[in-house]
Amino acid sequence: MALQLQHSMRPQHSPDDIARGRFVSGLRSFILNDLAQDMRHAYDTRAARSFEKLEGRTPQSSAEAHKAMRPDPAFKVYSACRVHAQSMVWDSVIPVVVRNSDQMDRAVDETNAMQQVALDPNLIVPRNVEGLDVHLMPGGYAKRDISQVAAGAIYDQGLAVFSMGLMGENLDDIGLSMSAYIRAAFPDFKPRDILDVGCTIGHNTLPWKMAYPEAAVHAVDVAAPGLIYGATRAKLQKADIHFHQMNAESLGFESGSFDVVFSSMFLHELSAKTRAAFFKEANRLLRPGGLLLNMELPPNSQMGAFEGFYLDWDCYYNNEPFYKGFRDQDPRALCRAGGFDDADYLQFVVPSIGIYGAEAVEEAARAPLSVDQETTGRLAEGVQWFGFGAWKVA
Amino acid sequence: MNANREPEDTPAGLYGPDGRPQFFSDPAMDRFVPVVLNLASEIWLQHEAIANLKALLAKHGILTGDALDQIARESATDETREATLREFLVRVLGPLREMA
Repeated sequence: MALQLQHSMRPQHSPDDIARGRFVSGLRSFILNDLAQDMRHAYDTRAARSFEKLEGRTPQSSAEAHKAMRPDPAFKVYSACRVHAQSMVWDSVIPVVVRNSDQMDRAVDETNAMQQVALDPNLIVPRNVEGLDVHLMPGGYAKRDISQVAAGAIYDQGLAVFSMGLMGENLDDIGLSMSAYIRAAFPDFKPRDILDVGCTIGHNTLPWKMAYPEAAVHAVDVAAPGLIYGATRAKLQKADIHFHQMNAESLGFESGSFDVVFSSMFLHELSAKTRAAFFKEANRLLRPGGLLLNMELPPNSQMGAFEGFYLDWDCYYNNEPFYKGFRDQDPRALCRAGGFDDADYLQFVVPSIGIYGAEAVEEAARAPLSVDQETTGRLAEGVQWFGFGAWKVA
Repeated sequence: MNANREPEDTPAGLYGPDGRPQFFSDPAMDRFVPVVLNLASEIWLQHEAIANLKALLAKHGILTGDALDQIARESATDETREATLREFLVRVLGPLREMA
Protein backbone atom coordinates (compact mmCIF):
# COMPACT_ATOMS: atom_id res chain seq x y z
CA MET A 1 0.00 0.00 0.00
CA ALA A 2 1.35 3.41 -0.93
CA LEU A 3 0.90 5.66 2.06
CA GLN A 4 -0.93 8.94 1.54
CA LEU A 5 0.57 11.25 4.14
CA GLN A 6 -2.00 12.98 6.33
CA HIS A 7 -0.16 16.21 7.08
CA SER A 8 -0.69 19.45 5.16
CA MET A 9 2.81 19.55 3.64
CA ARG A 10 1.91 16.67 1.37
CA PRO A 11 2.01 17.61 -2.33
CA GLN A 12 -0.67 17.38 -4.97
CA HIS A 13 -0.44 14.05 -6.78
CA SER A 14 -1.41 13.45 -10.39
CA PRO A 15 -3.23 10.21 -11.27
CA ASP A 16 0.06 8.82 -12.62
CA ASP A 17 1.84 9.76 -9.38
CA ILE A 18 -0.75 7.83 -7.40
CA ALA A 19 -0.51 4.80 -9.68
CA ARG A 20 3.30 4.87 -9.70
CA GLY A 21 3.52 5.21 -5.93
CA ARG A 22 1.06 2.36 -5.47
CA PHE A 23 3.03 0.19 -7.88
CA VAL A 24 6.43 0.80 -6.29
CA SER A 25 5.05 0.25 -2.82
CA GLY A 26 3.40 -2.97 -3.98
CA LEU A 27 6.57 -4.06 -5.74
CA ARG A 28 8.60 -3.49 -2.58
CA SER A 29 6.08 -5.43 -0.55
CA PHE A 30 6.37 -8.34 -3.01
CA ILE A 31 10.17 -8.23 -2.79
CA LEU A 32 10.41 -7.80 0.99
CA ASN A 33 7.81 -10.42 1.79
CA ASP A 34 7.50 -12.94 -1.07
CA LEU A 35 11.00 -12.85 -2.55
CA ALA A 36 12.50 -12.59 0.93
CA GLN A 37 10.64 -15.76 1.85
CA ASP A 38 12.11 -17.46 -1.23
CA MET A 39 15.55 -16.32 -0.17
CA ARG A 40 15.09 -17.77 3.31
CA HIS A 41 13.96 -21.05 1.75
CA ALA A 42 16.96 -21.03 -0.60
CA TYR A 43 19.27 -20.46 2.34
CA ASP A 44 17.85 -23.37 4.32
CA THR A 45 17.62 -25.82 1.43
CA ARG A 46 20.59 -24.85 -0.77
CA ALA A 47 22.97 -22.10 0.28
CA ALA A 48 23.67 -23.13 3.88
CA ARG A 49 24.10 -26.77 2.80
CA SER A 50 26.51 -25.86 0.01
CA PHE A 51 28.50 -23.77 2.47
CA GLU A 52 28.54 -26.67 4.93
CA LYS A 53 29.88 -29.05 2.28
CA LEU A 54 32.79 -26.72 1.65
CA GLU A 55 33.49 -25.53 5.18
CA GLY A 56 32.30 -28.44 7.30
CA ARG A 57 29.89 -26.22 9.22
CA THR A 58 26.92 -23.99 8.57
CA PRO A 59 27.42 -20.21 8.27
CA GLN A 60 28.12 -18.71 11.67
CA SER A 61 27.90 -15.00 10.91
CA SER A 62 26.16 -12.46 8.73
CA ALA A 63 29.25 -12.28 6.50
CA GLU A 64 29.31 -16.06 6.07
CA ALA A 65 25.60 -16.17 5.27
CA HIS A 66 26.22 -13.43 2.69
CA LYS A 67 29.04 -15.48 1.19
CA ALA A 68 26.82 -18.54 1.09
CA MET A 69 23.94 -16.71 -0.55
CA ARG A 70 25.78 -14.77 -3.23
CA PRO A 71 25.86 -17.58 -5.82
CA ASP A 72 22.21 -18.49 -5.23
CA PRO A 73 19.62 -17.44 -7.83
CA ALA A 74 17.14 -16.41 -5.11
CA PHE A 75 19.67 -13.93 -3.76
CA LYS A 76 20.42 -12.58 -7.21
CA VAL A 77 16.78 -12.09 -8.13
CA TYR A 78 15.88 -10.58 -4.75
CA SER A 79 18.87 -8.25 -4.78
CA ALA A 80 18.61 -7.06 -8.37
CA CYS A 81 14.91 -6.36 -7.91
CA ARG A 82 15.39 -4.64 -4.57
CA VAL A 83 18.16 -2.36 -5.79
CA HIS A 84 16.09 -1.18 -8.71
CA ALA A 85 12.91 -0.89 -6.66
CA GLN A 86 14.83 1.47 -4.38
CA SER A 87 15.70 3.68 -7.33
CA MET A 88 12.07 3.53 -8.43
CA VAL A 89 11.04 4.89 -5.01
CA TRP A 90 12.97 8.11 -5.61
CA ASP A 91 12.04 8.26 -9.30
CA SER A 92 8.39 8.13 -8.26
CA VAL A 93 8.61 11.10 -5.90
CA ILE A 94 11.24 13.52 -7.18
CA PRO A 95 9.07 14.81 -10.07
CA VAL A 96 6.21 15.29 -7.60
CA VAL A 97 8.40 17.38 -5.33
CA VAL A 98 9.73 19.42 -8.26
CA ARG A 99 6.16 20.21 -9.40
CA ASN A 100 5.10 21.17 -5.87
CA SER A 101 8.25 23.04 -4.98
CA ASP A 102 6.75 26.55 -5.05
CA GLN A 103 3.84 25.49 -2.87
CA MET A 104 6.24 24.02 -0.33
CA ASP A 105 8.38 27.15 -0.26
CA ARG A 106 5.21 29.18 0.36
CA ALA A 107 4.28 26.87 3.24
CA VAL A 108 7.66 27.59 4.86
CA ASP A 109 6.89 31.33 4.72
CA GLU A 110 3.21 31.12 5.66
CA THR A 111 3.87 29.01 8.75
CA ASN A 112 6.83 31.14 9.88
CA ALA A 113 8.60 27.83 10.25
CA MET A 114 12.03 29.47 10.20
CA GLN A 115 11.28 30.87 13.66
CA GLN A 116 11.52 27.29 14.90
CA VAL A 117 14.83 26.53 13.16
CA ALA A 118 18.29 27.58 14.28
CA LEU A 119 20.57 27.05 11.30
CA ASP A 120 24.33 27.18 11.63
CA PRO A 121 25.88 28.61 8.45
CA ASN A 122 29.35 27.69 9.74
CA LEU A 123 28.55 24.05 10.32
CA ILE A 124 30.55 21.73 8.10
CA VAL A 125 28.17 19.07 6.86
CA PRO A 126 29.96 15.70 7.14
CA ARG A 127 31.09 14.09 3.91
CA ASN A 128 28.96 11.01 4.54
CA VAL A 129 25.90 13.28 4.46
CA GLU A 130 26.91 15.86 1.85
CA GLY A 131 28.57 13.47 -0.58
CA LEU A 132 26.53 10.31 -0.25
CA ASP A 133 23.34 9.27 -2.01
CA VAL A 134 22.24 7.51 1.16
CA HIS A 135 19.58 4.86 0.52
CA LEU A 136 20.32 5.56 -3.17
CA MET A 137 18.46 8.86 -2.72
CA PRO A 138 19.84 11.19 -5.40
CA GLY A 139 21.64 14.08 -3.73
CA GLY A 140 21.17 12.65 -0.25
CA TYR A 141 19.92 14.64 2.74
CA ALA A 142 21.73 17.83 1.77
CA LYS A 143 20.51 18.11 -1.84
CA ARG A 144 19.86 21.78 -2.58
CA ASP A 145 19.41 22.03 -6.36
CA ILE A 146 15.59 22.07 -6.36
CA SER A 147 14.74 24.21 -3.34
CA GLN A 148 15.65 24.83 0.29
CA VAL A 149 13.31 22.07 1.47
CA ALA A 150 13.20 19.65 -1.47
CA ALA A 151 15.54 17.07 0.09
CA GLY A 152 13.27 16.92 3.13
CA ALA A 153 10.19 16.58 0.95
CA ILE A 154 11.81 13.88 -1.18
CA TYR A 155 12.75 11.96 1.95
CA ASP A 156 9.22 12.31 3.37
CA GLN A 157 7.49 11.32 0.14
CA GLY A 158 10.03 8.59 -0.59
CA LEU A 159 9.62 7.09 2.86
CA ALA A 160 5.85 7.09 2.33
CA VAL A 161 6.34 4.89 -0.74
CA PHE A 162 9.24 2.92 0.75
CA SER A 163 7.46 2.08 4.00
CA MET A 164 4.51 0.27 2.38
CA GLY A 165 2.21 1.72 5.03
CA LEU A 166 4.21 0.07 7.84
CA MET A 167 5.63 3.23 9.41
CA GLY A 168 2.47 5.09 10.39
CA GLU A 169 0.23 7.56 8.61
CA ASN A 170 2.81 10.31 9.08
CA LEU A 171 5.82 7.97 9.18
CA ASP A 172 5.82 8.33 12.93
CA ASP A 173 5.28 4.74 14.05
CA ILE A 174 8.78 4.39 15.48
CA GLY A 175 8.42 7.50 17.64
CA LEU A 176 4.88 6.58 18.64
CA SER A 177 5.84 3.01 19.55
CA MET A 178 9.00 4.00 21.43
CA SER A 179 7.42 6.81 23.43
CA ALA A 180 4.39 4.66 24.24
CA TYR A 181 6.70 1.90 25.46
CA ILE A 182 8.63 4.28 27.74
CA ARG A 183 5.41 5.69 29.17
CA ALA A 184 4.09 2.18 29.83
CA ALA A 185 7.33 0.74 31.20
CA PHE A 186 8.29 3.75 33.32
CA PRO A 187 5.07 5.51 34.35
CA ASP A 188 6.84 7.62 36.99
CA PHE A 189 9.32 9.01 34.47
CA LYS A 190 8.27 12.58 33.56
CA PRO A 191 10.79 14.16 31.20
CA ARG A 192 10.79 17.97 31.03
CA ASP A 193 13.23 18.34 28.14
CA ILE A 194 13.57 15.91 25.24
CA LEU A 195 16.16 15.89 22.46
CA ASP A 196 15.94 13.94 19.20
CA VAL A 197 19.34 13.65 17.51
CA GLY A 198 19.58 12.96 13.77
CA CYS A 199 15.93 13.85 13.35
CA THR A 200 15.94 14.30 9.53
CA ILE A 201 12.43 15.78 9.10
CA GLY A 202 11.30 15.31 12.70
CA HIS A 203 8.78 12.61 11.81
CA ASN A 204 9.69 10.58 14.90
CA THR A 205 10.23 13.66 17.07
CA LEU A 206 6.60 14.76 17.09
CA PRO A 207 5.34 11.65 18.96
CA TRP A 208 7.46 12.62 21.97
CA LYS A 209 5.60 15.90 22.20
CA MET A 210 2.34 13.97 22.00
CA ALA A 211 3.47 11.51 24.68
CA TYR A 212 4.80 14.24 26.99
CA PRO A 213 2.93 17.45 26.07
CA GLU A 214 4.43 19.42 28.95
CA ALA A 215 7.99 18.74 27.82
CA ALA A 216 10.07 21.06 25.64
CA VAL A 217 11.11 19.05 22.60
CA HIS A 218 14.22 19.79 20.54
CA ALA A 219 15.45 18.10 17.37
CA VAL A 220 18.83 18.32 15.68
CA ASP A 221 20.34 17.28 12.38
CA VAL A 222 23.25 18.37 10.21
CA ALA A 223 21.22 18.76 7.01
CA ALA A 224 19.34 22.06 6.68
CA PRO A 225 16.72 21.02 4.07
CA GLY A 226 15.22 18.38 6.34
CA LEU A 227 15.20 20.76 9.31
CA ILE A 228 13.37 23.52 7.43
CA TYR A 229 10.94 21.04 5.90
CA GLY A 230 10.49 19.34 9.26
CA ALA A 231 9.80 22.61 11.05
CA THR A 232 7.15 23.45 8.46
CA ARG A 233 5.66 19.98 8.72
CA ALA A 234 5.60 20.27 12.53
CA LYS A 235 3.96 23.69 12.36
CA LEU A 236 1.27 22.34 10.06
CA GLN A 237 0.70 19.55 12.56
CA LYS A 238 0.52 22.17 15.33
CA ALA A 239 3.47 20.68 17.21
CA ASP A 240 5.86 22.98 19.05
CA ILE A 241 9.29 21.55 18.22
CA HIS A 242 12.59 23.45 18.20
CA PHE A 243 14.90 22.44 15.35
CA HIS A 244 18.67 23.03 15.39
CA GLN A 245 21.38 22.44 12.82
CA MET A 246 24.09 20.66 14.83
CA ASN A 247 26.50 17.78 14.55
CA ALA A 248 25.93 14.87 16.96
CA GLU A 249 29.66 14.85 17.74
CA SER A 250 29.41 18.24 19.36
CA LEU A 251 25.94 19.36 20.37
CA GLY A 252 25.64 22.99 21.33
CA PHE A 253 23.57 22.58 24.49
CA GLU A 254 24.71 23.00 28.07
CA SER A 255 25.52 19.89 30.06
CA GLY A 256 22.57 18.42 31.93
CA SER A 257 19.96 20.01 29.65
CA PHE A 258 17.79 16.99 28.88
CA ASP A 259 15.87 14.13 30.48
CA VAL A 260 15.65 12.13 27.25
CA VAL A 261 18.17 11.94 24.43
CA PHE A 262 16.54 9.95 21.65
CA SER A 263 17.60 8.81 18.21
CA SER A 264 15.92 6.64 15.62
CA MET A 265 17.52 4.88 12.66
CA PHE A 266 20.45 7.23 13.19
CA LEU A 267 23.45 5.38 14.62
CA HIS A 268 23.87 3.09 11.62
CA GLU A 269 24.40 6.14 9.41
CA LEU A 270 27.36 7.39 11.45
CA SER A 271 31.03 6.52 11.22
CA ALA A 272 32.35 4.63 14.25
CA LYS A 273 34.14 7.78 15.39
CA THR A 274 31.04 9.98 15.25
CA ARG A 275 28.94 7.26 16.87
CA ALA A 276 31.32 7.02 19.82
CA ALA A 277 31.36 10.80 20.21
CA PHE A 278 27.55 10.90 20.19
CA PHE A 279 27.30 8.51 23.16
CA LYS A 280 29.62 10.75 25.15
CA GLU A 281 27.62 13.80 24.16
CA ALA A 282 24.37 12.08 25.15
CA ASN A 283 25.85 11.31 28.55
CA ARG A 284 26.99 14.92 28.97
CA LEU A 285 23.59 16.33 27.98
CA LEU A 286 21.50 14.12 30.24
CA ARG A 287 20.48 15.14 33.72
CA PRO A 288 20.86 12.55 36.49
CA GLY A 289 17.95 10.12 36.08
CA GLY A 290 17.72 10.87 32.36
CA LEU A 291 17.47 8.32 29.60
CA LEU A 292 19.44 7.74 26.42
CA LEU A 293 17.23 5.77 24.03
CA ASN A 294 18.13 4.68 20.51
CA MET A 295 15.74 2.96 18.17
CA GLU A 296 17.95 0.97 15.87
CA LEU A 297 18.57 -2.19 13.94
CA PRO A 298 19.19 -5.12 16.27
CA PRO A 299 22.82 -6.22 16.70
CA ASN A 300 24.32 -9.18 14.85
CA SER A 301 25.44 -10.68 18.17
CA GLN A 302 21.81 -11.23 19.13
CA MET A 303 20.61 -12.65 15.80
CA GLY A 304 21.13 -15.74 13.70
CA ALA A 305 23.49 -15.69 10.70
CA PHE A 306 20.73 -15.46 8.09
CA GLU A 307 18.76 -12.79 9.99
CA GLY A 308 21.96 -10.79 10.35
CA PHE A 309 22.82 -11.14 6.66
CA TYR A 310 19.28 -10.14 5.70
CA LEU A 311 19.59 -6.83 7.55
CA ASP A 312 23.22 -6.24 6.52
CA TRP A 313 22.18 -6.46 2.86
CA ASP A 314 21.53 -2.69 2.96
CA CYS A 315 25.14 -2.02 3.86
CA TYR A 316 26.44 -3.33 0.56
CA TYR A 317 23.58 -2.64 -1.81
CA ASN A 318 21.65 0.35 -0.47
CA ASN A 319 24.48 2.81 0.04
CA GLU A 320 24.61 2.60 3.80
CA PRO A 321 28.34 1.99 4.35
CA PHE A 322 28.32 2.11 8.16
CA TYR A 323 25.31 -0.16 8.59
CA LYS A 324 27.07 -3.47 9.23
CA GLY A 325 29.85 -1.83 11.23
CA PHE A 326 27.20 -0.55 13.61
CA ARG A 327 25.35 -3.87 13.74
CA ASP A 328 28.59 -5.66 14.54
CA GLN A 329 29.06 -3.49 17.62
CA ASP A 330 27.70 -4.46 21.01
CA PRO A 331 25.07 -1.89 22.05
CA ARG A 332 25.92 -2.32 25.71
CA ALA A 333 29.60 -1.64 24.97
CA LEU A 334 28.64 1.50 23.03
CA CYS A 335 26.78 2.81 26.07
CA ARG A 336 29.64 1.82 28.38
CA ALA A 337 32.18 3.66 26.21
CA GLY A 338 29.92 6.70 26.41
CA GLY A 339 30.22 6.70 30.20
CA PHE A 340 27.08 4.79 31.13
CA ASP A 341 27.19 2.00 33.67
CA ASP A 342 26.41 -1.56 32.52
CA ALA A 343 23.88 -1.84 35.33
CA ASP A 344 21.91 1.04 33.84
CA TYR A 345 21.70 -0.44 30.33
CA LEU A 346 18.31 -1.28 28.87
CA GLN A 347 17.09 -2.84 25.65
CA PHE A 348 13.73 -4.01 24.44
CA VAL A 349 11.67 -5.00 21.43
CA VAL A 350 8.43 -3.10 20.96
CA PRO A 351 5.70 -4.16 18.53
CA SER A 352 4.73 -1.51 16.00
CA ILE A 353 1.90 0.40 17.65
CA GLY A 354 0.26 1.00 14.26
CA ILE A 355 0.15 -2.68 13.44
CA TYR A 356 -0.34 -4.34 16.82
CA GLY A 357 -2.04 -1.57 18.81
CA ALA A 358 -1.36 0.18 22.13
CA GLU A 359 -2.24 -2.86 24.23
CA ALA A 360 0.50 -4.92 22.58
CA VAL A 361 3.01 -2.16 23.39
CA GLU A 362 1.89 -2.15 27.02
CA GLU A 363 2.12 -5.94 27.12
CA ALA A 364 5.70 -5.78 25.75
CA ALA A 365 6.54 -3.37 28.57
CA ARG A 366 5.35 -6.03 31.05
CA ALA A 367 6.71 -9.17 29.31
CA PRO A 368 9.88 -8.61 27.25
CA LEU A 369 10.03 -9.90 23.67
CA SER A 370 13.02 -11.74 22.21
CA VAL A 371 15.31 -9.86 19.82
CA ASP A 372 16.10 -12.83 17.58
CA GLN A 373 12.94 -12.91 15.52
CA GLU A 374 12.60 -12.39 11.78
CA THR A 375 10.17 -9.52 12.40
CA THR A 376 12.60 -7.53 14.58
CA GLY A 377 13.95 -4.53 12.74
CA ARG A 378 12.80 -5.85 9.40
CA LEU A 379 10.49 -3.62 7.40
CA ALA A 380 7.99 -6.27 6.38
CA GLU A 381 4.73 -7.71 7.62
CA GLY A 382 4.71 -7.85 11.41
CA VAL A 383 7.57 -5.42 12.02
CA GLN A 384 8.78 -4.84 15.59
CA TRP A 385 11.24 -2.16 16.65
CA PHE A 386 14.43 -2.61 18.67
CA GLY A 387 15.42 -0.05 21.27
CA PHE A 388 18.47 0.25 23.52
CA GLY A 389 20.15 2.80 25.69
CA ALA A 390 20.94 3.55 29.30
CA TRP A 391 19.84 5.57 32.28
CA LYS A 392 22.20 8.19 33.60
CA VAL A 393 22.88 7.54 37.24
CA ALA A 394 20.69 9.71 39.44
CA MET B 1 28.27 3.25 -6.17
CA ASN B 2 31.73 4.81 -5.98
CA ALA B 3 34.68 3.53 -4.02
CA ASN B 4 34.42 5.88 -1.09
CA ARG B 5 30.93 4.63 -0.36
CA GLU B 6 31.89 0.98 -0.10
CA PRO B 7 31.83 -0.48 3.41
CA GLU B 8 35.28 -1.28 4.78
CA ASP B 9 34.73 -5.05 4.80
CA THR B 10 33.21 -5.31 1.33
CA PRO B 11 33.91 -8.76 -0.17
CA ALA B 12 35.65 -8.74 -3.54
CA GLY B 13 33.52 -8.81 -6.66
CA LEU B 14 30.34 -7.21 -5.31
CA TYR B 15 30.40 -4.33 -7.75
CA GLY B 16 31.00 -4.09 -11.48
CA PRO B 17 33.42 -1.71 -13.20
CA ASP B 18 30.71 0.98 -13.14
CA GLY B 19 30.56 0.78 -9.35
CA ARG B 20 27.03 -0.64 -9.33
CA PRO B 21 26.18 -3.93 -7.62
CA GLN B 22 26.67 -6.90 -9.91
CA PHE B 23 24.57 -9.92 -9.00
CA PHE B 24 24.60 -12.03 -12.15
CA SER B 25 27.59 -13.65 -13.83
CA ASP B 26 26.49 -11.99 -17.05
CA PRO B 27 26.28 -8.25 -16.28
CA ALA B 28 23.68 -7.83 -19.02
CA MET B 29 21.24 -9.63 -16.75
CA ASP B 30 21.75 -6.92 -14.13
CA ARG B 31 20.54 -4.43 -16.71
CA PHE B 32 17.56 -6.50 -17.81
CA VAL B 33 16.01 -6.87 -14.38
CA PRO B 34 15.36 -3.11 -14.09
CA VAL B 35 13.81 -3.16 -17.56
CA VAL B 36 11.35 -5.83 -16.48
CA LEU B 37 10.44 -3.84 -13.38
CA ASN B 38 10.14 -0.62 -15.36
CA LEU B 39 7.83 -2.35 -17.81
CA ALA B 40 5.71 -3.74 -15.05
CA SER B 41 5.41 -0.22 -13.62
CA GLU B 42 4.37 1.21 -16.97
CA ILE B 43 1.80 -1.51 -17.47
CA TRP B 44 0.34 -0.81 -14.07
CA LEU B 45 0.15 2.93 -14.80
CA GLN B 46 -1.77 2.16 -17.98
CA HIS B 47 -4.02 -0.21 -16.09
CA GLU B 48 -4.91 2.50 -13.60
CA ALA B 49 -5.33 5.18 -16.25
CA ILE B 50 -7.68 3.00 -18.27
CA ALA B 51 -9.62 1.97 -15.19
CA ASN B 52 -10.00 5.65 -14.21
CA LEU B 53 -11.12 6.66 -17.72
CA LYS B 54 -13.56 3.82 -18.03
CA ALA B 55 -15.03 4.68 -14.65
CA LEU B 56 -15.45 8.29 -15.79
CA LEU B 57 -17.01 7.34 -19.12
CA ALA B 58 -19.32 4.83 -17.51
CA LYS B 59 -20.31 7.43 -14.91
CA HIS B 60 -21.44 9.72 -17.74
CA GLY B 61 -23.04 6.93 -19.78
CA ILE B 62 -20.79 7.31 -22.82
CA LEU B 63 -18.66 4.17 -22.68
CA THR B 64 -19.18 2.29 -25.94
CA GLY B 65 -16.75 -0.03 -27.74
CA ASP B 66 -17.25 1.74 -31.06
CA ALA B 67 -16.29 5.14 -29.79
CA LEU B 68 -13.06 3.84 -28.27
CA ASP B 69 -12.16 1.97 -31.48
CA GLN B 70 -12.68 5.12 -33.54
CA ILE B 71 -10.37 7.13 -31.32
CA ALA B 72 -7.71 4.42 -31.61
CA ARG B 73 -7.90 4.51 -35.43
CA GLU B 74 -7.57 8.29 -35.48
CA SER B 75 -4.43 8.05 -33.34
CA ALA B 76 -2.54 6.02 -35.98
CA THR B 77 -0.90 9.14 -37.44
CA ASP B 78 -0.67 11.16 -34.25
CA GLU B 79 2.87 12.62 -33.97
CA THR B 80 2.42 13.39 -30.30
CA ARG B 81 1.93 9.71 -29.64
CA GLU B 82 5.14 8.95 -31.51
CA ALA B 83 7.04 11.38 -29.33
CA THR B 84 5.43 9.92 -26.23
CA LEU B 85 6.51 6.46 -27.36
CA ARG B 86 10.08 7.68 -27.66
CA GLU B 87 9.96 9.02 -24.10
CA PHE B 88 8.44 5.73 -22.98
CA LEU B 89 11.24 3.68 -24.54
CA VAL B 90 13.96 5.85 -23.03
CA ARG B 91 12.33 5.61 -19.62
CA VAL B 92 11.74 1.86 -19.63
CA LEU B 93 14.79 0.68 -21.51
CA GLY B 94 17.22 3.18 -19.97
CA PRO B 95 18.96 0.52 -17.82
CA LEU B 96 20.14 -1.20 -21.02
CA ARG B 97 22.23 1.83 -21.94
CA GLU B 98 25.86 1.82 -20.90
CA MET B 99 26.15 5.57 -21.24
CA ALA B 100 22.98 6.41 -19.25
